[in-house]
Amino acid sequence: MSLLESRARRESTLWHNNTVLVQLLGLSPVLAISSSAVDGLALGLATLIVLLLSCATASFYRSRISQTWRLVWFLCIMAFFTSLVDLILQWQYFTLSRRLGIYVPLICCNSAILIRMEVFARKNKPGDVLRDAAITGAGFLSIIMTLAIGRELLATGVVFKDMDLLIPVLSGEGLQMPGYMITDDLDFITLAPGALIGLGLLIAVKNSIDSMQRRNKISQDHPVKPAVRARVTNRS
Amino acid sequence: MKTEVYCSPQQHSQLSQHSTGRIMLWVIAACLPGIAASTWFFGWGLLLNILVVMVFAVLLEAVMLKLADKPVKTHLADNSALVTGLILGIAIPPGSPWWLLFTGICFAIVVAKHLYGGLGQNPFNPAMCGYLLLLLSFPLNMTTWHLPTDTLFADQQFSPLSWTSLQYSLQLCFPALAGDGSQISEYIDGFAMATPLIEYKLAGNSTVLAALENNSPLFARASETGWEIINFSFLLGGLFLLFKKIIGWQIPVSIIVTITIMSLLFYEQGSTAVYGTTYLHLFGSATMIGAFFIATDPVSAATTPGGRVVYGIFIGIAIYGIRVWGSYLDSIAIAVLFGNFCAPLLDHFCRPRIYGHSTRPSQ
Repeated sequence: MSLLESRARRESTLWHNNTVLVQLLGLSPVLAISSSAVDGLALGLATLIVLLLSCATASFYRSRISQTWRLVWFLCIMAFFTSLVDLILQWQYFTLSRRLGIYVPLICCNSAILIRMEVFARKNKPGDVLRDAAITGAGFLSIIMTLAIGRELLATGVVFKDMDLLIPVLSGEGLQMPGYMITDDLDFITLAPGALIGLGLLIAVKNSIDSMQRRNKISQDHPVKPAVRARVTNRS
Repeated sequence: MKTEVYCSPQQHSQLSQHSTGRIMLWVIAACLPGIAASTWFFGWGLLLNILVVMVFAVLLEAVMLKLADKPVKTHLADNSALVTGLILGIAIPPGSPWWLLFTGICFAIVVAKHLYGGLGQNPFNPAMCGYLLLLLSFPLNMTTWHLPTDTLFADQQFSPLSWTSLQYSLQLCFPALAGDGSQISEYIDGFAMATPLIEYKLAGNSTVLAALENNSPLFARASETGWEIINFSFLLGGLFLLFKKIIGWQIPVSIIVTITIMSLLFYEQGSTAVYGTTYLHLFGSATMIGAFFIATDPVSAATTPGGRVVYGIFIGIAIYGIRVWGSYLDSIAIAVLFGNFCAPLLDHFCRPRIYGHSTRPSQ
């Protein structure tokens, strides 16, 4: 079993088995689309829907799908639902669909979805599979949203701009961050290096929280008794 | 009677002449003539830039050291943050607002230095990383030299060192001080000036060149002569560093020789292609400070003697190439970062022979 598979095989949770932060799967849409919150939300939701539907389908037909041809089947299922989502986007949210560009069709080869189908959906009942897929998709969505909100805020000082493209009830002006001084857009954050550095920082924060928890746990399980020492020098 | 303390090479204590803090202070001291000359010719802008960036640099350095659980006082005493701030402050055009300075130094200290592991671990020159971030993000601010367009042919002549000039510089740096935002545009930091090389590249629409041709009294002091003297001052500071053996001779010499050869080869008198004379490339641009102060950063530069020569040649070629055939105005930052990329490889291939070993690697 490869490292990738062993990581993916663990029980899916939002934190310890996050597709983006831990498995590092499906990074290209995360990096490319996370420059504004509305794009991130749209792509995250699209991915979540495709993930739910394809995992459910794969689980439902798990006795019919042959072992040898399973990857082809999985890809076909994903491509089917991706086309569906893409068509719905073009039908109802045309502007948004143009903004997301190639990354909506590219959901059909998102390895984060494929690995959930491969290691979990094809062996379990649809109920469990839906739960697993929902958690995985929520993990993906939360990370892409965190990155997108952070980058949009740093780059322009405004979040949730153009939100009316996705949710027509909301205003498209966005929330202005008070006290933001930079008058131009901070282009570096919107470009590719900003995405890479931002994702790296998120992973670093996650790892540091993990190691802090581990340290706390160790000190709770094995509390250190204060040593009683004799004073050996004059200095205190 | 004087007792001299000798340290073994591995023991860099505060007593040693070559402790990091001492070296960094010498670097700052060597920059002083150039900064003084620049202030004399162009006013307070540069000095203000450097001071603001240095304050931010030390604050950010202290915060990052605290976060990394390192002893803050001991590490601040190595003065490396001050030097990073100094170089960045010289590189950014005078009269920039404070948030621009803060963004640049924040990226330099936090990302380019401390996220890589702090002093001695950074593969790239932090100051140049910060500069390049600003250049990519705010191309307008980073190439705006506050030119006195409105008062170009006015009768009054400012002195660069006057009280009003200081006020203008302060208001450009801290826009809040000016109170009403609309007033800022009326204040002119009339004494910041791009290097003649940049003026040369922008020749068509340069207000400064026009002023020089018209013998405007505004530029009585801030003429091309000013830049020559500033560059000679930086050269003087660099020679002082060489004399103190703080930097090796290989990097500056190979950069300057490469640029000289390149500009001699490609210069055509009266040609329509504007390549500039050798003198313009050496003393009318940022070459001197780049060759002596920026490219010689002891952490990110090549360390072996042979590697340093090749490193200097690479940087020289990159500087000239980007200047002449590229779209950027000056190219020290990009060239130095390019050299930083090559440095580990150069060190690998230019490893000196260790005493008692053959030149070939042992089997």
